[in-house]
Amino acid sequence: MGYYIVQPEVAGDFGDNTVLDFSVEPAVVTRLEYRFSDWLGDAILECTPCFIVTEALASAITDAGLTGVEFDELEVSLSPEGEELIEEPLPRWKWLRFTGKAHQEDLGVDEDFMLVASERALAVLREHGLNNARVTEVTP
Amino acid sequence: MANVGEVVERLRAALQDLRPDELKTSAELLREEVLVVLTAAAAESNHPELQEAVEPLTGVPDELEAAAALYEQARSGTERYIQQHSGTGGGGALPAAAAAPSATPSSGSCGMPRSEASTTPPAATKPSSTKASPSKSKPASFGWTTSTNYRKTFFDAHPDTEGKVVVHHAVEQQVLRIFPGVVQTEEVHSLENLRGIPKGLINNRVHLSAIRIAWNDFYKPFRKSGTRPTKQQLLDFATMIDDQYGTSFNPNIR
Repeated sequence: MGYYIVQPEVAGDFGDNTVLDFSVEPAVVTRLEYRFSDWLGDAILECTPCFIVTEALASAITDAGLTGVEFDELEVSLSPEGEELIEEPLPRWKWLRFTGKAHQEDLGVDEDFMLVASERALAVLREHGLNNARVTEVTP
Repeated sequence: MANVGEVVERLRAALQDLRPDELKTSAELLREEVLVVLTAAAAESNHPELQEAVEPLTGVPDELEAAAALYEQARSGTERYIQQHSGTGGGGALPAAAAAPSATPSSGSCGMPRSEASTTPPAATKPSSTKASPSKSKPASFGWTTSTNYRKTFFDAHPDTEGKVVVHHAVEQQVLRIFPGVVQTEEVHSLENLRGIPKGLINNRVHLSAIRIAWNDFYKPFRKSGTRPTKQQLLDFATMIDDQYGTSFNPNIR
């Protein structure tokens, strides 16, 4: 099965309600507030080490039986920049949580915090909007 | 026993004209060969001057590797932007010169330690400024303000831009959260750290997106290693961003 490195759009940063656990290395995010500064329209976004997807994409991932992920709740907010730049209402989002290993599951994160997608996972992502991501095929 | 001055000159010669892709090789050479010999010689010599000269050099390999990582992250972000927008007709593709920064350290800046407390050895890599002449390129900096109303801070200083720009932090606000203790709130919201991004042009939104991606890539090696960038590293990266996009800002800073 072929794999791809997907580097999604970064539409914002961690809001004030984000909680990081620094007792472990690297620090892990235990509560996520994704604060939008802008949005160019993709269905999967990143703020390292976190990835979020639209609810529609989350449903599609589930329906397609893609492995390696589950979903969690997050808080979404707008920065002052976002309030000025984002004209349309944002869709609803889910926090992508990884349950397996990159290059083995359909979706995973490698040791460099890069999203790794199988060919069939990439197809699902593209159906829902991946115009602003960089996609690189992983050479074996 | 080697003369301290001779050792320093040899090291200075070795560090000159380094390419970023050679920084890692140089770091390994220093760590595994030069410093081993110097440290042993200093320990055996009982010569205080030599011992004092060797001590600050022990951090140089780490600093060189950190500088190489910083360059690679910056280049990766730039290449991503170019690949995404090449051939899109006005999507803001970067000039060729900016796409391949030489990032050659200027004299004294390669591996120059800074006094910031950090779990990462400081490495102030001076970014290339291929678009502006050195006399026009002002490095990013922090000031100090007691106000967190950064929009007011910016528009008080640049009243003619109100309504025309969104106010953007050169060094992102989130560093206060993800790298606590490196910079102060008063510094992040200072006028010196604020930029005006003209509204209404899709090109500028694309630039902002590229800037967020570049910072995201910058953070990754630090997250991976569980370390924090120094304040100077943050400012150096902000300077690189200013060099690449500053002509689009209002007021124009390049």
